[in-house]
Amino acid sequence: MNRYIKEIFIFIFIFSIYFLISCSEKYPSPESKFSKIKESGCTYCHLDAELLKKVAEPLPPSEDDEGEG
Amino acid sequence: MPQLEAWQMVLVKDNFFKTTHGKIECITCHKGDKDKYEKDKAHKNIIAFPSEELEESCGGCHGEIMSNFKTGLHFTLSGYLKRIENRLGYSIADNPDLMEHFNNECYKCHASCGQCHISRPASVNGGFLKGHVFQKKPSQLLNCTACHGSRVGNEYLGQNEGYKADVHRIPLAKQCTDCHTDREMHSSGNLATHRYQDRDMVRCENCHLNAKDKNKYHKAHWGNSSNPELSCQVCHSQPYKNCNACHTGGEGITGSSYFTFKIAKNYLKSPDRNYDYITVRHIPIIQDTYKSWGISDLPDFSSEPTWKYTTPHNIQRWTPQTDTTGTEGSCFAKCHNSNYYLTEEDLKNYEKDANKNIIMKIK
Repeated sequence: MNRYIKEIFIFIFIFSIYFLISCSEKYPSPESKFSKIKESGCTYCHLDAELLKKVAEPLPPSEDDEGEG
Repeated sequence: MPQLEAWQMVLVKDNFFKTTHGKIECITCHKGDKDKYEKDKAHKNIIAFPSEELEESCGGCHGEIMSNFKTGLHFTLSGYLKRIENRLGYSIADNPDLMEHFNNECYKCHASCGQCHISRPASVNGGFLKGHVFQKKPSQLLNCTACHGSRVGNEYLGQNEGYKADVHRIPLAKQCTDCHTDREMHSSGNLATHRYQDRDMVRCENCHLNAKDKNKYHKAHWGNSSNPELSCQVCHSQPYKNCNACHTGGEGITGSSYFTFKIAKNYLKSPDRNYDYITVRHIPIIQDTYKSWGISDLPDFSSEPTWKYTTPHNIQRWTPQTDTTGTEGSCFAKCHNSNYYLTEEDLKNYEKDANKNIIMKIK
């Protein structure tokens, strides 16, 4: 009887380990597009005013009289 | 309108990413390389103004608007092209040199989606309106009058010394888009080559039709088949800015501008604008306007008037024309056979033939 109980416990233990492993995420959960965007090289610069000030090239002054009418 | 510093023009605000368009990855529209952190490498193959490619950038979600807008005058500038071709007497569509000049100097003033909804127009160097957050309605100051500033904007805002702002101007309450709605701006797909032939364009009558029988002057000149039909501006416009001599190649306006008010025959009658008489504005075209393009003279210069149909945006109920107090003579005496008429005396030699069909004769 004890032998059977021991085998049951071993089985439960192995099954639990297997269950825990098999239920872990096989694929990383998709990150939100927002978080991806936040991490890109684009936003690294374009969200940082101080950095932009350093790298932006000055523009020629605009003309006084605007446009077609 | 003060110009933004270069860095301000491209500073994206955090709240952009909470908007629908902010959920789209930057490179989807702008290309470039998002994994590079050095400016030149990150900007390789960058597309600064993605909405120039209407259907590729915006058409996926806004297909119907795009298919209409690509025929609209704000996008095609076909009105400009048509006037140039008429005065040349031939099409320049198959002339790469002239088309390059046209694209570089004229077409840069066209509007793509982004130049109204995301940034200031490229013609004034651009720059985000609100940190790349898409704006449903363009800004009157930063978009509309950025292009239409020197004449329409100044008239409407009352910035011409001695003249009142347009009666429709209600600061902080009314915007250009209240009259010039999305239907007009986006177009409904008609292929007009002149703004006054664009059937989507707003008319005074859209709002004021119930004023048709309000007074004897309206009854006389508004839908009365026994009398000439007048455009609203003939009576309700103040004097407006007129220009002389504009040249391509960066010279710009080389002549003087001046204020006047002139009535002429309507040379652009259409179902929506069947007026007999209209207000006209002197435009700065001259025979050698395009000399920097290698065109020293326009062979068919006279095919288009140099006094052009105009709808000044400085409307007042009471103007010198509508003053009926009798202190300056009756309305009839002031308007009929008056110096408000565009006559041959107003024309310089080079433009007499171009305007011969629209000038008025004093009887």
